[in-house]
Amino acid sequence: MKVTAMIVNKEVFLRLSEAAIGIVALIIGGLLYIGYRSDCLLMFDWFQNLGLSNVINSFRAETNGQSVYEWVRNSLPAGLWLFSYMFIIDSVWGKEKNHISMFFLYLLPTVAIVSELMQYIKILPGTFDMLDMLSYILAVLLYLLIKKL
Amino acid sequence: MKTKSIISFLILLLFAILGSGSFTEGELKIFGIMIVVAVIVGIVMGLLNASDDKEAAERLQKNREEELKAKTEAYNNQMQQFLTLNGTPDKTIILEKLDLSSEIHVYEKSKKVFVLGKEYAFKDVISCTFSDSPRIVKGKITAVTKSKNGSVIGRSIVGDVVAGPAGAIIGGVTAKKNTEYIQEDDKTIHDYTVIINMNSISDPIIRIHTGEKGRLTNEIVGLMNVIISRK
Repeated sequence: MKVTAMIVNKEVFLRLSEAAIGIVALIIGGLLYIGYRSDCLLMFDWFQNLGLSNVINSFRAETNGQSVYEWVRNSLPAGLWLFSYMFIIDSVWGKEKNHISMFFLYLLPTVAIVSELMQYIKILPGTFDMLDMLSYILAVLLYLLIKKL
Repeated sequence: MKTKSIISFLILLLFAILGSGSFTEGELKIFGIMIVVAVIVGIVMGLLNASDDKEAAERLQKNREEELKAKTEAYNNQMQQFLTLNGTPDKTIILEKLDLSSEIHVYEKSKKVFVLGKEYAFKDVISCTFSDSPRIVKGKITAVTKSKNGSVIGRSIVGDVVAGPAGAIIGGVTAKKNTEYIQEDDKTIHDYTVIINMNSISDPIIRIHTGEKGRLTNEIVGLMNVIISRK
C-alpha cells in the first residue's frame, strides 16, 4: 500500500526546536559578550589568534555608544549560556531519560552554581556576583518550566 | 546511548570552552579543573552503576536457577505420586511446564480425564469449543523520499501510521520532494481460549487460555471431541 503524504513527527520537531532555541540563546549571549564586555577576557585573545580582531573590533565599535542594563551586559550571557546548554543536551537525548542523560544535563549547571558559591567563600578566584548566581538559577528554572509546558 | 553520550560529551566540551572564554587566566584553570573532576566523577559513577547492574543481573539469574531447581523437584515429586496413584496416562497435553495443575491427562481404559488438576469421567464432558479475541497489528511502513529527478535524497524510517508517536516521519521539509510509503501487510494476533462444558453444577465451564497457540488449541478441542464421542 502506497501513501503519499507528509507526516511531521512531533518528537523530531520538538527536538529540532529545542536545538534551535539553544543555538539562538547561545548566539544572543555570545553577541552580548563580544559587544559589551571588557576585552581583557580570554575570548578576545582567541579572536586575535584567529585573525578575527578586525571584525570583532568593528562590532564592538557599533555597540560602543549603546547603553544596556548592567545585568544584561554582565549576567544575562551566563544565564543564556547555561540555558542554551541544557536545551541542546535535551535535544540530543529526547525522551530518553536515564542517569547518563541526567548527568550531562545537570553537570554544567552544577559546576556553574558551585563555582559561583566557591567564589563567595573565597575558594575560587573571582568575585561572587549575586546576579550571576540568579541568572544561573533562573536559566535552570526556565528550562524546567518550559519542559513542563 | 553510546552515540548520544559521545555527542553530549562533545557538547559539554564545546560549552566548557565557550564558557572559559569569559574568564581571565587565573579563573580558567580552576574552571577547567572543576569540569575535569566532574567528568571523572561522572565516569566513575557510571562504571560503579554498571558493575552494580552486572552483580544484580547475576544474582537474579542465580535466584531464577534456584527457583527453577526447586520447582522441578517439587513437580517431579508430585508427578511421581500422581503416576503411582493413576498409572501412566494414554495421552498428556502440557499447557505450562512444571505445573501439574496446567496439564491434561487422559486414561482411556478407566475413561477418566484430568483437566487442570481435576478429575472427570468421560461422560461428564458435554461439549468443547474455543473462542478467539484477535487483535490486528498494523504493518510497518517504510518511507523513501525522492527528489523531483527521482534520486533518493531522503531516508527510510519505520513506523506505525495509526499508532502515531513512534510513527513515521520525515525531516527536511524544505526541498521539493516526493515521499512514498510502503506498508507491510497487517498481522492478526490470535488470542484463543478453549471452553469445555462439564456436567457439573458447581463448575460447568472450564476455560483454558491458550493465547496465540492455534495448534495447541486444536489439539485440546480435538482430544475433547474424541472423549465426547467415546463416553
